[in-house]
Amino acid sequence: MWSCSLGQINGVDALAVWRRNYDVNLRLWRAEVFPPLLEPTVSIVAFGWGIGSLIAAETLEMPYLTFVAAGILVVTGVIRAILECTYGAYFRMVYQSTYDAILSTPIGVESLGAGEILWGASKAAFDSLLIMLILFAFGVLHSPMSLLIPLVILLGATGLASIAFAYTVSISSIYQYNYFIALAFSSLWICGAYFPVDRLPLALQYLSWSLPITSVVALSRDLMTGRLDFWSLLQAFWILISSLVFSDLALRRLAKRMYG
Amino acid sequence: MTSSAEMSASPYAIEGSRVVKKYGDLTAVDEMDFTIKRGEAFGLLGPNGAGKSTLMRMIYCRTPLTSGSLLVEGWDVGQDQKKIKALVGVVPQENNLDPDLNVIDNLKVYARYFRIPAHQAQSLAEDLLAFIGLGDKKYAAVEALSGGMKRRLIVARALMNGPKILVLDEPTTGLDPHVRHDLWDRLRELRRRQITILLSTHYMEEAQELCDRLIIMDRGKILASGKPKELIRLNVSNFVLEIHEMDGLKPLVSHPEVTPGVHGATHYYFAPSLELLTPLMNQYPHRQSLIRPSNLEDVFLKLTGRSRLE
Repeated sequence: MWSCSLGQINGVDALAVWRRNYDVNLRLWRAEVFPPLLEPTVSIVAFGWGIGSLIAAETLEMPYLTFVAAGILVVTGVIRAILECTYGAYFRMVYQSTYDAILSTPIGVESLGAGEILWGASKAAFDSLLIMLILFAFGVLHSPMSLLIPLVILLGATGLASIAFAYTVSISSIYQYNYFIALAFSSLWICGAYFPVDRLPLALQYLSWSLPITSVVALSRDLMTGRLDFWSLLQAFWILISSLVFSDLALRRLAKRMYG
Repeated sequence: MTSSAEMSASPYAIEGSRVVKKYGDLTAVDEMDFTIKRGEAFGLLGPNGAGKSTLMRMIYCRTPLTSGSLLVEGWDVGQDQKKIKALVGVVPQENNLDPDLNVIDNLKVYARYFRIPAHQAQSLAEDLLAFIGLGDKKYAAVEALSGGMKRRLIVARALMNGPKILVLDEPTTGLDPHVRHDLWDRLRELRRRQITILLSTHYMEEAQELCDRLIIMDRGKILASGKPKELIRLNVSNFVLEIHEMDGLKPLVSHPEVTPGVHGATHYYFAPSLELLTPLMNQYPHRQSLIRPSNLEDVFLKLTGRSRLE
């Protein structure tokens, strides 16, 4: 009988796994906090001011700086989550045997996976908070609803980190990431971060909207500008559903790998 | 399901009945029946691939059984993993210390997985580091530790939850004799504290020194089991003559009570008394030879050697 693996998660256990990663990162906080902010900051300046100067605000109903800032905010966070749940998780699982050590304790496999995925998503949300401080300085946070963006990124990144994690626990060699990274990073160019999705050919538009990240970008932009509508609600729903489905998939795959 | 009353009444820490583990066509553990008493030190001896690690992993719920029944402190490994894991300390064959954390944090983070409160974990970790002689390495990076120190740290980590059962998979493999003897001392101390110890090893001396009872296994099956001295008495005679560099020569049959054996280029003659072996030794005055009391290694080679020939 089919049963949802999410029900097997124990919150306290998942938090213990999450905190292991938190402790490690706290030790390395200088390297973990500042360097990742440099690239998005330069991107926002380059895209926003550079390319933005070539684009009329009327075409987008907002300054290009605002438009692209929402995109870069999400893309930066999602890349963090993906890297954490690909290479970071693979190292812990295979080279350091950290999962093996954890599974010799009362921590269940689902809680282990949940802790790892949530850690990736938390890093995305944390990065987005820091980048928002920069965006605030740029004056592009037009609405107080912007404060909800890290939550949207946390939820959206949970789904995307789950996809990355499901892939991680399914591969046998680190070189197999070449396929995943190629697909994941390509999708970042058509998710509406840098230009509106409706400028793409119709088939690519459908593809783009099927990717949860497109909804995360759209909803974050809606919150940033304070323009919420029915579509925003639909995006939130799709982000929620996809995160649940993909995290369930990831936990199943982890259980299969660990207990075969 | 075993009731808690039955559990406390049972003298066994671990009870296996027709335990089977298959990986595809390979049967790693083949219908094994065994019991390990509470508070005893129990050894698993066998060549590589005998199924020792698989059996241990099933006991600490890291690998599911294919069939059979396995109870740990009365709990079923198929249903009560969380309860069992809370009672068991694990020293795996591979070092899986966390290289991202320093020595004491390895213990404190591990304690969190058992829900041990932080202040308690701190003092427990300090006590255990003192117990294994790493008190001055608290803040050292794991990678900076020697092989022996890493093994000792893993033992300390396995003790963080105050286990009733300690499972050690080849704990001293690759360690120099000083470190090995040092680790044995700690294990003897744990045995005095009535912790049930299950240990696999390639070192016969280790098994003979530490184990109250043991199993010799190969290809997933038990070849013999019992107390070390009993196993020696039942399987080989009291004394053995070793004659080296005997390539190509056949062993002699000198007396009905003398049992010859060959392993590589060495001839072995087992006999109940020294008198039966001395004349044999004198027949090869130019070879390196030695008469000694029989030991567990002789039993091991006899049993596993025979099974391999079959």
